[in-house]
Amino acid sequence: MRFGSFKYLVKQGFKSIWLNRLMSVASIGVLAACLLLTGSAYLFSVNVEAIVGYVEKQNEVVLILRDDITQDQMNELSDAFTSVDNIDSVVYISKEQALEDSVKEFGSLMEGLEESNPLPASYRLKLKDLSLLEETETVLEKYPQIETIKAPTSVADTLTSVKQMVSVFGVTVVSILTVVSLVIISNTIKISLFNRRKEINIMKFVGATDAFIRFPFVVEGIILGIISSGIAYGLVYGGYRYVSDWLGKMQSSWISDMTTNIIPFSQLNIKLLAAFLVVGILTGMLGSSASIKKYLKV
Amino acid sequence: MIEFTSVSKKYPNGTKALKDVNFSISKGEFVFIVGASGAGKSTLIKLLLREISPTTGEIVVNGKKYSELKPKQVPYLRRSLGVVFQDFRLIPNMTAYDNVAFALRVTNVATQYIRKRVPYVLGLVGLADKAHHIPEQLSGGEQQRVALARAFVTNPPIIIADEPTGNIDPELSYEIVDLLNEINRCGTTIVMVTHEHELVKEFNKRVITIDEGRVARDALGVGGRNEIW
Repeated sequence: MRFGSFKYLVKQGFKSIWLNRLMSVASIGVLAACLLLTGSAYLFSVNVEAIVGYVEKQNEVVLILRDDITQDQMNELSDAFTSVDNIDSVVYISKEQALEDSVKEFGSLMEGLEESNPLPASYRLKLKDLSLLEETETVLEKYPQIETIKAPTSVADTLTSVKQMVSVFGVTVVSILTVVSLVIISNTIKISLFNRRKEINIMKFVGATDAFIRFPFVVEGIILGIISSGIAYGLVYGGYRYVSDWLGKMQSSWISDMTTNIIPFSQLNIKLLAAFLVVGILTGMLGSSASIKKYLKV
Repeated sequence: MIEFTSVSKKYPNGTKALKDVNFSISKGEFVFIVGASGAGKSTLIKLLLREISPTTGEIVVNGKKYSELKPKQVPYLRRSLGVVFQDFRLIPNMTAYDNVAFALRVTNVATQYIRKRVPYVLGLVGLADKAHHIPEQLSGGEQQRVALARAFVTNPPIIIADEPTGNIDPELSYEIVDLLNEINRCGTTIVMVTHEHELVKEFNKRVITIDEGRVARDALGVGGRNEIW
């Protein structure tokens, strides 16, 4: 293809967006809305996961050790900790440490107990995945040197179901929206092709090759995709900032605690923009070149 | 240049539009194709443009056998056939200039050539001053002249005109056929389908009469009193 022809065809793509501006606005609107909703669903689930992860880290499993524990048994336990995959970190609190901590907390009430310290030694475990709590518990229960295991079972259950709900919700929303946007976009492009079927028919009669006819439409689809992703990105950016500001101003302590865990937009922006552009350009391109096929059969 | 050998066309709905049609048109000829509505003229044009393929028989244009043509080669075949339609088929949102230039752009020629050639051809059809009008600002006759300019701007060896005067005033019809005649004088083969008895009489060319899907008459000038069209 000559450069002159290439330039002409690209120009035709831009021109037809302007000439069919009502249809172009409709396509951009639909595509941008779908990208916006999909992007929001993605951001929502990413953040819920981050918050869940934060809450998970706040919860520890406490292993209270028997008073008559020997050094060998201690070593055995340490080995066990390294062998259990789900254990993230372990902190040992000796009897002395435990007493010191309670003195700090409760003051004189705890003084004078140094002689016969009633407080047990313990391990504080942080788990990687709270939803696997039960499995980890059963492993640890086998060790007789552990007197009791204090685990946040109900918290773990709640978090697990929240996590599941969010991922099911995210996948459902994203897949429904993808289908909806594909249907609507291919429909919009079909309408704009239908409006220009005469033009395409004439092109065929003056001897245009299929590639030549398709080119401006594909250019048009790509441009529409780029504009839509730009708009969707801008809206998501604005909305995200607004919501995180609003959450930050909330009085409730646990909400503001949560907001510190909201993933900053700067960490997501490149990924999001790239995804928007890829999806936008692909739908625009595929939509236009798939719908045009019908009109090329002359 | 154009050869139909035992061409028959049966549509999927059972209509036999053409039955064993044979004729041959040589280079530089001007041929009228006439016949009543439903005689098969449109089918003949569609076959010539390779919009459809014959059920049996062979069509050869410019030495190319249609039966051996691959879909990819069809656009190149069409570039050698200038077409004028009854309904003009101009692109409504393009100026006369762009409509004519369109046919050249499709064929991948240099922009400088387009800039020279299009005004020249528009001048030939007498529309140099209306180059920047869009179709709706032009009269029917003017629109058809733009279509004619588009058909021969690429210098095709053959021009096919499908009832080119069907939608324009009778007094302007003569002008259009006269233009075709001028183009013919420069060596271009012209095939014109028409209804208009007067025009055919006026120009006195070879006339192929189609009746009920067959070639009923193939001779110079209009025939006897029994012409049905």
